[in-house]
Amino acid sequence: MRHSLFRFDQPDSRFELLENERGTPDDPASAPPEAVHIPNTMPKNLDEAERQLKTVFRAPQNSDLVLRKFSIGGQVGGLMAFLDGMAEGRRIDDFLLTPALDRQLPHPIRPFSAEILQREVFPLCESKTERDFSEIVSAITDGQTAVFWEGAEACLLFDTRGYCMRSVGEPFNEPVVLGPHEAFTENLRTNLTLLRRILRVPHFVSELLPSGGRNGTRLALCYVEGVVNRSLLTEVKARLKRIDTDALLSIGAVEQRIEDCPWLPLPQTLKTERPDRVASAIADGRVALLLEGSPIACVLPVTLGMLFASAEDAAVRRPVGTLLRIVRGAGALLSIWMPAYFLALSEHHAGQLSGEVLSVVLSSHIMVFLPLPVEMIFLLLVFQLVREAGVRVPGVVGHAIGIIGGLLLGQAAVAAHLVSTVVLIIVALSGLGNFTIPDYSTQICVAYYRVALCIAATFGGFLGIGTLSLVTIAVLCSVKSFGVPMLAPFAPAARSVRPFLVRGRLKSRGPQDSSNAEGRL
Amino acid sequence: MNDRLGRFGKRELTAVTTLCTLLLGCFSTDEASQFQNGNMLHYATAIALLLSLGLLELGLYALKRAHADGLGEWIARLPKWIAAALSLLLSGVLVLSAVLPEVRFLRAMTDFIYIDAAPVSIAVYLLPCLAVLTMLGMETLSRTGRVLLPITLLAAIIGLASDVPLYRLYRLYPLFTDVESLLRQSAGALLRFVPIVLLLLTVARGAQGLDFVRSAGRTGLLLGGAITLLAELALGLSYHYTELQSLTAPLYRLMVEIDTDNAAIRLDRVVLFAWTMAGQFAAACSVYGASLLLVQANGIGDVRPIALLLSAVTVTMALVLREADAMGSAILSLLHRYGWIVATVPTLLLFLTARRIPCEN
Repeated sequence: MRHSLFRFDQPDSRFELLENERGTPDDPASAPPEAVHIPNTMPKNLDEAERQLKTVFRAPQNSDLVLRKFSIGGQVGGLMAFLDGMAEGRRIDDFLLTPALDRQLPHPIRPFSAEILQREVFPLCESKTERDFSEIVSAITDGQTAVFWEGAEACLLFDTRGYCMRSVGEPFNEPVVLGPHEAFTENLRTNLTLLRRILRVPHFVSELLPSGGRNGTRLALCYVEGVVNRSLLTEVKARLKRIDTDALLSIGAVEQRIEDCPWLPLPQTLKTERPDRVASAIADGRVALLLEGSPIACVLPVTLGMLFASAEDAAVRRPVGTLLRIVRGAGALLSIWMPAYFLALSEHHAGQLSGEVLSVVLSSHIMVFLPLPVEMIFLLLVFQLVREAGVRVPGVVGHAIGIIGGLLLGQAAVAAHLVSTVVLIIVALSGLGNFTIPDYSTQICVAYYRVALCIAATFGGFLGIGTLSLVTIAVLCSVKSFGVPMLAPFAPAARSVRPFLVRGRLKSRGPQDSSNAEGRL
Repeated sequence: MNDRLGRFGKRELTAVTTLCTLLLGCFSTDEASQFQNGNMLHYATAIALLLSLGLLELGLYALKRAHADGLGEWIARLPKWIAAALSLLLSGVLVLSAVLPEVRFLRAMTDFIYIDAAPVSIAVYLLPCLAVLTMLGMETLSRTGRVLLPITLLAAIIGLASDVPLYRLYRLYPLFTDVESLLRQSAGALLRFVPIVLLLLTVARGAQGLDFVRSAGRTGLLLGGAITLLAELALGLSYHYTELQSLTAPLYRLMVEIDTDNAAIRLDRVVLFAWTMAGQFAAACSVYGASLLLVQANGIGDVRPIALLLSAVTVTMALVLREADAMGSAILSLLHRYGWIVATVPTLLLFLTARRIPCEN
């Protein structure tokens, strides 16, 4: 397109999308298309079925829709419809088209019913009869193949789903040494199979529900009937029903729409990519949500203890498991309070440090031009920057960024007197402690909460830290995840075999009070 | 009615009672009057605790007989103006029990830690914390109490155990002088524990029954009282009673006395701030109790505005009493001497005249 900046004799002809720039476009081609109504009733004949399908799927502009006319057993005309790429072509050829064309039925059959076709012609096990045209359309978008035939009042739907998908791999974010090494994939059916392989009980239910997104993704609600609390199930279903949005693409988007306190940075559900963790939670009477296209499951309700627990805790011996939890707890405490504690000491309560420690702190900071609080908060934010960059860039480069950020940048910053060594050590220790928190969302929340604590420590010293900590504890005590207090089973006290720090005995393992389960697996 | 009471269990209420007893027991004492006649504070505290336990039993009996779920609902059955006056009076007692430790903490901070800071700049931190805690309601407070109890007990143990080298038995002399002083001191000490009884009776509905309140109240008062007595004993072993009459924050001073020159990091301020946070919590419980009493007795729809107002009143009163040095000291002294009458007499009268209050079947 020629640029008209210096062509005063011609009107500006640049493309404008927004109506308010030049008013409503008067080009009839740009007028919005009429909404297509999808009827519930079956088309009367094959031609009408073809026409309706073409209208609904916007053929021929949409080249994915495949409509194939054929003859069934040489007696009646048929039409099959599927979406190219969503359905497996070889399966259609071998089990639908070839039998229909090759098989000569011995005697004329009148009328042609779905049962006869299923029994005599098509050797595919997963098939069902459907009379609602909108359901047929929905099944085609899901990768199924619809078969219409002359004079039929129903259509046969065959499960021919065969789109490309990632195979089951190792968990990226929750690796363990002794536990299983399987992770969810983007395929809902595969994920449900992974769960069912662990929970081989007939009362394990996976309900497929519409997700509430208009893009039509399916959502699976998984629980064990008889173990899950029914009021929890009713509440979850009611909240899911309230979701109404254009496109629902990740389980995080579902979580944010159903949780109790969307304003709280702390997650109120457990997002995990490990089938064993989800199965364990479901066996305890919890509910899991799986979304088509999302390799993460969402477990609810959760407690803070669950967010700090690792999948490996049950795989190691009890004393070791308890020790691991204590180390993890100490790491989290270190991560949260250490930078703020150091700032409070050095800014307001220097008398609490011995002369030697104070001289070390002062001598390391003497050439640094930034004030200590600014230096600390700056370094904490740089740490987050390095971490975020390491996560976003591809694998190998990500490791390199971590090394560059951690070693080279830190070393250079100390050499340039931008930061002091003591502060660098404290931030590094705090960052290390942060990584002991198993849940990613909790890690992020803690990482930014410690910045808030540093600001409070800068202004108020121990008073600032104490006040903010007390308010935080109180807020945590008031928050509930689907009716379960976040600090259960500690506050409020409840019976639990898996309390915060001490790991319970495996032989007495049963549903926990916090899930209010109605029975045992 | 949005009373933010919620539901809480026996263990949560025990934690709340223990913390409030410990904090009010240790930080609402008027050392000048309590150590006037030797080290009789231990006896006075023990007697006041026993009397408070008796008052709790009496109150629970009265509530049970009246089929009332809590003190506020019971007072609401009285004629309107009596209910208003009585609820105001008892709420005042609860607010006073929040103010006394706040004044003490404000004084400790401005005298020892933030020496150049004005009390208002300390209060800027205390008020939002108190207001948020109070408005979150009793269910949250009870759970917070359960989280804070181990931290506070740890702080108490560290504080008292680290001073063992300083303890001298001879400093306890004289342990007893005369009965009249003991009775006077015991009555004065009632002001520290009667508000806890009032709080327990006010929040009884949330505790799933009066039997739970009785059990939690007994355990909490005895446990908190025992630690209070230990702290008082530690003070008596560390300072002569004549010194204690003029010390501002004796428990903190006790920690500072320890020779920790060789330690890399001292912990006395950390311990003091752990006490301060527990003090904020105890104050929040008292203020919430006062707000709930006012709301229930007078049929007000929402507890939060009252809670916010009373939080502001508490911190303002603490500031005024801290700032107005001579007058503040005089008012505090008066409150410590005669406050127990305001706290105990109406409560006792209410329980004793329980038969005349209509029952709800």
